[in-house]
Amino acid sequence: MKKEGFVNVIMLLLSFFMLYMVGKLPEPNATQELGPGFYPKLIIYMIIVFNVLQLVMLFLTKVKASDEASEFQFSRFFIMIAIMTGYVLSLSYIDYKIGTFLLIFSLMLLLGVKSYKLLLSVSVISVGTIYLLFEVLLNVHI
Amino acid sequence: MEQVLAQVFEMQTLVLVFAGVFLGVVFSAIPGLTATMGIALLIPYTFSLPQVPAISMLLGIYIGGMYGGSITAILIRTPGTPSAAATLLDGYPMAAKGQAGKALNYATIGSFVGGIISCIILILIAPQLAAFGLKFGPAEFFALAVFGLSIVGTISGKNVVKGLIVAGVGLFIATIGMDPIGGVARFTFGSINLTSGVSFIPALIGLFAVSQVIKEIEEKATGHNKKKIKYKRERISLKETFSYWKEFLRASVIGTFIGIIPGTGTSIATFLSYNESKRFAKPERRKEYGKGIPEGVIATETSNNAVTGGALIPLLTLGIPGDVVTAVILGGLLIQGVTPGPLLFQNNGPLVYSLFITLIIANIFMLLIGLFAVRFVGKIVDVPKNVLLPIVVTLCFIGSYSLSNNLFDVWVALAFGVIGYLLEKFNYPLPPLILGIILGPIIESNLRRTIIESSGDLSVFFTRPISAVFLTIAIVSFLYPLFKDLWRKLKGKESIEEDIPA
Repeated sequence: MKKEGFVNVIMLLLSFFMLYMVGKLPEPNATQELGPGFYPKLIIYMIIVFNVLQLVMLFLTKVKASDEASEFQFSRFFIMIAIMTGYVLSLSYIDYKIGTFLLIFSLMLLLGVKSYKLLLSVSVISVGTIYLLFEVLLNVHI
Repeated sequence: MEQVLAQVFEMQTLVLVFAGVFLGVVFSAIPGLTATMGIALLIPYTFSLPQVPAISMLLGIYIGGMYGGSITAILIRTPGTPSAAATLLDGYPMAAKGQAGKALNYATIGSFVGGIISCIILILIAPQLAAFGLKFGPAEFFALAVFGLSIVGTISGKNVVKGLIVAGVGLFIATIGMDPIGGVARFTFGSINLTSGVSFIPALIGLFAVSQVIKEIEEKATGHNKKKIKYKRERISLKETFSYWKEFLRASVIGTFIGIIPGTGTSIATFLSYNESKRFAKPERRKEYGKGIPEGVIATETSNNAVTGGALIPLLTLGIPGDVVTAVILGGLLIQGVTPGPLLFQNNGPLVYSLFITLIIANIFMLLIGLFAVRFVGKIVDVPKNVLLPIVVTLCFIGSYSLSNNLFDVWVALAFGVIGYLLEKFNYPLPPLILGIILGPIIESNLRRTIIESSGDLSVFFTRPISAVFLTIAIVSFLYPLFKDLWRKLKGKESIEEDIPA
């Protein structure tokens, strides 16, 4: 099966799960002909139909190199997501200035910046600017 | 008239309009900050000001705020505001081709033309248009939103089915939260944060900006990202600008028309305008949409600024705010002792005319600021990506938080960043997802209201003329590209190059 097909299979599984969830919504009453579940159900059916159609088309058409998803860098992708998730988590526990400094610093490192002067200056200036703009000018307390 | 001109051309008023436009541009260019936020923040500062300068400043922010989002959308594929989401369809590819300066200039001129034409329409036929806007009931709103959704075929690029799947996902995401009629919590999984639905702006920031950062960092690792965007100052001649007069005019009319209908918003105007621009283009030119052509930028940027004049029509003539920004402006007007409505024109004529002139001045300031700023902001693309990307992603997260001081919105931005990245990895277009999230609530609430009003009679959608026209065009627009795509795939023909890279 082509790699792309897995996306459709995952979407189909999620759609069936959501259909199950729709079933748990209250039934329509006298004043609401359609009820809260009607529209989501309609959309899920639509998603299922188009996913099946896409799968059929994937099987019927010839494989073209350009159609396949490009090379996937698992390790780098997961490091990036871990850094970003760590940052968002840190916002609840430590001062955002420290978290922001670490986020910019680590992403720049990941992107290959080797000069510590640049790493430190960009991170510090960015944190300072964000503090001035959001906390001082806009009164947003993070 | 002398009194009006004296009020408007007072130094204080001019300075405040300029400051308003400038702040509007800056606010909307930063991801997460919006013109609405800018107006809301500055309202307290206008308490002590006289009526005309105070309201003029708020209108200045409104005008500048519509334009500013295009700058980051074009340069770094980060739409500062929802109204700039469609601008990146052709704006960013133009920048990628080394035409960032040209794209920014077209965006500026388009915004100016759209703003001015909608002002003229506002001045000339505001009351008549306002009456037309009020003919829209739930059936018409539903039909208009379905018509808006029909452009999925246009913005899906090579694979219409994938576009429809993604649009469906967007429509489904829009159902998360409180059911619009009965108030039942749907798919919230017990989360209080989800009861009001998925926040749109963090989702937009995540889908386009965060996903782009993830993609760029990965491409840097794989070495795929050899192409460096370079900024080059490019002037556009008057002749070249006038050669797109049809685009300017069409987008202005669409923007104004959408603006006068309360509850629609600029995003619908920009996507519709983009669709119509592509539809009216010559076949060979149509293939170029999405690859970076001026028509795409003009269509979207002209229409979003044309919405400003249109949205002020129901606000000033009937006292009905069309969207959140105009609702905040309404608050500002009421604080200044101005009650919009039919009597405003009779009882407060000089004020109304001074606002009209202010709008034109604000658009001129926006043009000047835009053309001047292009020289400096364009240089953003020259900043090395390994320095720029971490700053962009930080601004995305902090901006998402600042929208409602809610950490959950930052999670939304991150989650949508990952979703956007994965979808693009498998060649799924992102614009239909945004379109689905924008139009979903309008479609559902108005469909259900119509059914309740008509006691379940579905024929009402085709017996009301405005609704019938929109739905008929929508059905044809849906089916034609779908069948064309299926036929092409089954016949094994090469797909035509109508790729939308966003």
